[in-house]
Amino acid sequence: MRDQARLPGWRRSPAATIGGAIVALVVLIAIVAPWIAPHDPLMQDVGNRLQPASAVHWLGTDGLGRDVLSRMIYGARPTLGLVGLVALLMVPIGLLVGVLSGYYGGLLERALMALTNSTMALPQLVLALAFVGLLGPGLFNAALALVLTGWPAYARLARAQILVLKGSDYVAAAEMLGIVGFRLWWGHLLPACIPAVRVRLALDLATIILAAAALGFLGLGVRPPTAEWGMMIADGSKVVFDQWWIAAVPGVAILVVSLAFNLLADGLRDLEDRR
Amino acid sequence: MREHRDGIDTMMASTSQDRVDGGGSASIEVQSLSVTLGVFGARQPVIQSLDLKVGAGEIFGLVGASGCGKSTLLRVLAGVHRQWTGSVRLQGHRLESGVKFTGGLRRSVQMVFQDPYASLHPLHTIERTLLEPLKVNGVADCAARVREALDEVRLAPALARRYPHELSGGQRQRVAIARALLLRPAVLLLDEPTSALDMSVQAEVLNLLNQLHASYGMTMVLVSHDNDVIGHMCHRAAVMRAGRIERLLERGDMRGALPSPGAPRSLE
Amino acid sequence: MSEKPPTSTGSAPSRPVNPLLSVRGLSVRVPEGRTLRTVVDGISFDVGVERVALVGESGSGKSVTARALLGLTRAPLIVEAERLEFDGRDLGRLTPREWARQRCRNLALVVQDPRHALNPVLSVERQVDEALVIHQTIKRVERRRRVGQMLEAVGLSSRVLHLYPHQLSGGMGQRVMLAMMLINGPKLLIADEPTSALDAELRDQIVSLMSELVDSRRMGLLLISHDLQQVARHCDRILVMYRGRIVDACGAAELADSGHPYTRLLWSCKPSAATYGTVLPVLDRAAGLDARAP
Repeated sequence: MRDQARLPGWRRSPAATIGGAIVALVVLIAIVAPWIAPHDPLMQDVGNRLQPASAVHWLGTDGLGRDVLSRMIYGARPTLGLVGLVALLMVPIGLLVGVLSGYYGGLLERALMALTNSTMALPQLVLALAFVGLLGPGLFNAALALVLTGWPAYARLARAQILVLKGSDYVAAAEMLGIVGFRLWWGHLLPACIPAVRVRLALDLATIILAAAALGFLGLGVRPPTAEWGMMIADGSKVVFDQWWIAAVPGVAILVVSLAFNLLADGLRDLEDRR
Repeated sequence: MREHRDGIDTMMASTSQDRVDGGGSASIEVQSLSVTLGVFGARQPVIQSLDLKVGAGEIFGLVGASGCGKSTLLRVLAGVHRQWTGSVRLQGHRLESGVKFTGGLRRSVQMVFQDPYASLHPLHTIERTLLEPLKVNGVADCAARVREALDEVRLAPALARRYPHELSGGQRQRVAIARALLLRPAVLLLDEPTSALDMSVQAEVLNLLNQLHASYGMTMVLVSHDNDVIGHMCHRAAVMRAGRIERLLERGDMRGALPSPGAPRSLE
Repeated sequence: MSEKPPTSTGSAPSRPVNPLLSVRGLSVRVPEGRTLRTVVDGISFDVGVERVALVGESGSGKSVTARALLGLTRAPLIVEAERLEFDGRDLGRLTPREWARQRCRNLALVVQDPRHALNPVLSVERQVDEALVIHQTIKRVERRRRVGQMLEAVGLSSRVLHLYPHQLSGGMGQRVMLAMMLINGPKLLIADEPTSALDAELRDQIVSLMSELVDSRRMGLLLISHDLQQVARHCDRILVMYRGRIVDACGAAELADSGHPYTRLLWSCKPSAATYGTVLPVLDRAAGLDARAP
């Protein structure tokens, strides 16, 4: 309804605001980690291992006497780094494939969609395992694996949008004015796909965090002794009944960030609807 | 995909400088045009063996109830809908079914669409919407031409920096008209250009169209379901029904009320 | 000829004897940024057992007025009125449940595009029947008879009963809406641009139908439209709205000679075969710098 009031953005969707704020906070923590972490996350103090929360170690120590709080703070870095890398690679690839196949159609579309659909058939985590198995553990390899299984969803989303947009008046007008090819799909069609992609991405990031944590848990993410939430859970799971905090703290961190992305996605979708 | 060869720039340039003279050479000639829409089992004839001639510089009306095929006819002439059979000549150039317009032919036919909310790209400023076609077609001094275009349709230059959703329906239609005239087309097609507008805004837009026609003398084909708009604007008109032309109207027929196109639809 | 419409001359509520609907000082505002924008600015009018038209263009506030009269506005729109009475009852104090009962039973609304207002998954018969069921307890046989009668009254054959909304044409959809809305015998029908989505030739038919039905059932009609000439043909009294205020009120017969410049403009700006070759009169707007009309 054109009578809808234009409330300031942040009030229009509490979900987007809260989700966005949490994400922003976590990113900030990851950036200023060296300045806010009370201890060196790698420093071992075996004499002080498996200690519960105390004045010195606010969240206790892990199996090698390292400060859990500091490791949690530093652990935000590889996690967010992985998530960022995956998003940065996955979305452009998917968008490009989707837009090109939607715009040009014909054989190109058939070929690209065949590729997309077959890639979608591959199970994400299994493929990730295979990749890191082949290439060795590490942040980049894990990210690559997730990218290669994640882009098809965006390709399909983009293509569906393009097919709808091709019938719209403003695209017909652009074509009549001689705007075709690259200019048309890059300048006119692609931007119109972005809103839907944004929402999908926010949702995906929640899943990717869990996938990254899973890889870390299996020892296929960053190499030890770097602090990483998934790996911290793996370490903590060995002593979970007695020293529950070692696994719980990173677990809660993953939960909170994942939830934040979900809220953000929800809120973004509400905002798009209202427009 | 094959393309029409470029080569009628001179033809386009000269026709756009001609003043209205009615009669004269035909700008648009259609013979036995047929268009069928739909897929496989559900094909429906939308236009059936239609003949039409529009003279250079005429304002020609197409009137009829929804579904009579007038918008489809317009889209065929615009080169937007390319699957048809029959013979179509536009500015002396013979069109081929299934082939995109390019070059001079593409520039010589432009269209103003019905829905002012859907015909401008929502994420582009007005300036970009008007600048881009000029750049793509190699027009010199684009910025000045954009200012000129806005001026021609009586819009303030400050509007260039706005987005479509910040403009009213009437303003958007003016931008759409400015855009259609950027390349000085010889043929301007208008698909119900005022049906989404208020009465007083419609009056402004119709006045504007008449002024522009007086200045440039382009051939105009105006589609409307509103007899009054047709009666006010057009030299001649065709009444369409079920994909065919039922009758042709001259000025004399339009004085007084236009006949309603056929009996009121029977109530099933 | 272009004229600026003057600011409100104050409302001129005509007072029909025994008004069905009585409105005084109705305002609707909406928060925009940090301020409140006024959409309807303290209007007053009455509607009796007669046909009244509320005419205006986009942004005049006429549709919002219709919604406000039926309690159909939602947050963040804020509705205030000194007096809002229907059939002696104070509408301002109704709870949502009471409102629901008033609507359709006593006050009916027909909107612009019937295909959006009808439930797409229910057949015509179900929907018209449902309107009856919600407000009255009647045995099925009797209901069926009334539904049939109502459809006939709006000019539809019984073949329509089994159709779904997407199978109806625009004109048929409006007739079904009318049937649904009138079957409970309301006293006032509010029609919000009921024919704007229809082809020109159907418009007069539908509005004539409404007029006949309203007359034969001794109802009041409030017709909201942007087409001054259409309402002149079918209504007794005309109220002209501009930017949230009623700027002119007169009888249908006096429209063509109205003294008010805005009314005269709306009347004369309509194109026709007779105006061929002339410049149509227009409103003097500040050249293009108007923000989007609300």
